[in-house]
Amino acid sequence: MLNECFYSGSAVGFQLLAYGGRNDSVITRAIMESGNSVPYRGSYGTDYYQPYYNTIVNNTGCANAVDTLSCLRALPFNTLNAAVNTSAAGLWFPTVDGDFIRKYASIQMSNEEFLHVPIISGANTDEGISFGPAVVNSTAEFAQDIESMYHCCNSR
Amino acid sequence: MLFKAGVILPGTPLVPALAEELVDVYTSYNICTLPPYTLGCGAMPARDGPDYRYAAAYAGDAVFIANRRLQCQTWAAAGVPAYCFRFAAQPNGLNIYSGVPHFQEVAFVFDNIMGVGYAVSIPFHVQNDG
Repeated sequence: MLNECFYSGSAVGFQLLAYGGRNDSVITRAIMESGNSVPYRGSYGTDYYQPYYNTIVNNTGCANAVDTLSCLRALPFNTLNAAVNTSAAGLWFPTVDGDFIRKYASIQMSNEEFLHVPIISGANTDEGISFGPAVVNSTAEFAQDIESMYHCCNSR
Repeated sequence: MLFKAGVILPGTPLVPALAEELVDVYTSYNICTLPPYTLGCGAMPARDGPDYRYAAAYAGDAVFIANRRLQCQTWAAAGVPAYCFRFAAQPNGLNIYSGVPHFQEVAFVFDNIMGVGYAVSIPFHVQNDG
């Protein structure tokens, strides 16, 4: 039995929706701080990440390997780290793979496909100070931030 | 690596029509009630721009706050206990332009009254009562 309490509540949130909310009697209750079962980033399928994976494979000399994943796993840490630590490698978030993550969280939740265990879930009043844009000079800039989600970063 | 410089979470672009609608909604709010709540009707530093607080309100809602609400409503609707909180106690060491941002509840969760791991600004010299 596991009582999950985890910072980065998002990680716990995914566990509560895992395998369509299947109850394996492993998790009996969960606590989430600033993160939950609704991912803060839109979810994508494996097709979205495939080009990033290919880029990493190509950057490591694993492109000609029969099993590229095994090749990556056998690399020295520094080689792999250098390959993933570039913008071309993209950002990795949990992927809708049809297995661990069966569907978008919003769909699973509307279908009650989640682990029915008691939870504590919270967030802080001013999360947007940490995750919002640093400078917003006009409503046009505000709209642009939402459309592109790319502006600048807050250091406060 | 979770965050990369230059990316605003949630990091998913929205279509312009939806962005415009969100801007209309968020700019209709009383700015005195928006992040950072410790500022009240005061003014942010000029460098942040006049619409900073509207965007900060949206960003916080989009990244965690609205998400938490949906989770808690979903659990409650299914008859599963859900205890849900908004943490609003500003620890020692933060200024009025910070409010209660990410991570600040952690010292409270772990009852870290001695400030273990904090070189300065021991969190439990609390400035307000939340």
